[in-house]
Amino acid sequence: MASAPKVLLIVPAYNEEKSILSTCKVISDAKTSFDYIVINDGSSDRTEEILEDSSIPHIKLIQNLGIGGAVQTGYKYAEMNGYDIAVQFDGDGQHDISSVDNLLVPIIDGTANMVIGSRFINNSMSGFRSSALRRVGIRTISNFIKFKTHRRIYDTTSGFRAVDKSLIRFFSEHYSSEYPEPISIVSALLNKYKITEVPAKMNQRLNGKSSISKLKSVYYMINVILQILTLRRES
Amino acid sequence: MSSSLSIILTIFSLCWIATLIIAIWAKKISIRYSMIWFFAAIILLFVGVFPSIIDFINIIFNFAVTSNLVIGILLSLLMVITFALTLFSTKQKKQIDLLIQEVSLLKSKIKKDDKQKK
Repeated sequence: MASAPKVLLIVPAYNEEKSILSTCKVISDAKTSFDYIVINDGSSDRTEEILEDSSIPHIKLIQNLGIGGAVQTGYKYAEMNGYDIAVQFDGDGQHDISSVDNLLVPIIDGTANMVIGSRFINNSMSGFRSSALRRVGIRTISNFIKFKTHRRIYDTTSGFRAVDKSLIRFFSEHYSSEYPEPISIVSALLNKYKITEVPAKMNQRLNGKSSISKLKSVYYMINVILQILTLRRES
Repeated sequence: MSSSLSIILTIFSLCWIATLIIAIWAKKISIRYSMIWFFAAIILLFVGVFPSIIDFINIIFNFAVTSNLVIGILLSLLMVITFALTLFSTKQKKQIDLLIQEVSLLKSKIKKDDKQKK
């Protein structure tokens, strides 16, 4: 890329009234050249009101689509507006704005189409601590991805990732609506896109709770494994 | 197969076909999505009108009671219909998701354009 790339942060938000303002403030205060867009995924709390009152650039989904549908809307927006790189950046304060530059380097160098901000490379950098059960789940998914694509990806559930223009176009057409983080990795690898992981700082979420509760974790694993095993290359 | 079961099946499938035709006339179901129900009703009608066929088929499947084979056929038909409906609802979910995304993007663009005009 000769000139500075046009970068968009996609911030999906569902019922994030307590944290969305601080997340947006962190992005604005970082004084980067990145644009950002909040995708309000049909929130039923005051998220929309806060976004409107604070004149935060956002798209209000008229119905809740879930994380996959919300992020895909961000990719569609990025494609429509000619962005070179799109970075998924959670609305709950987990992702660290200072790590975004690290994610961009392999894309700007042309060595990767997708860069995943990983919690499991250079652990000292991350303030994030997940439970043992969660780590077992991530490892299991990682093994299934290795089996399917012959590539080892360590942080399979990280939502902190940057993609280049070719993947923005691909994801705006093909993106899993359910549990998209591991599935989009497999989808990209099967379609010959290059993926790399870089260490990224992640915080504990400011407010709210994970979309995957303990009760749903069994369903999550079965769903994700089935999706991985049945995915095919897009023709 | 007993003659009473044969009569019940015939009447039931005729009522089923009549209900389908009424629903189509009332535009409550499209021809496209009624086909699978017609197909199921015609199989049942056939079994009801020609009960000897089911007795013949039962020689192959060897059910203890012929009526169990009829229930088996009914269950299989329902499974096929349920699967077809699942395929249809999955397709519709994708179409609705796409519509929601496109409408939301369009609405935000209109809003942004309006703000710029003011």
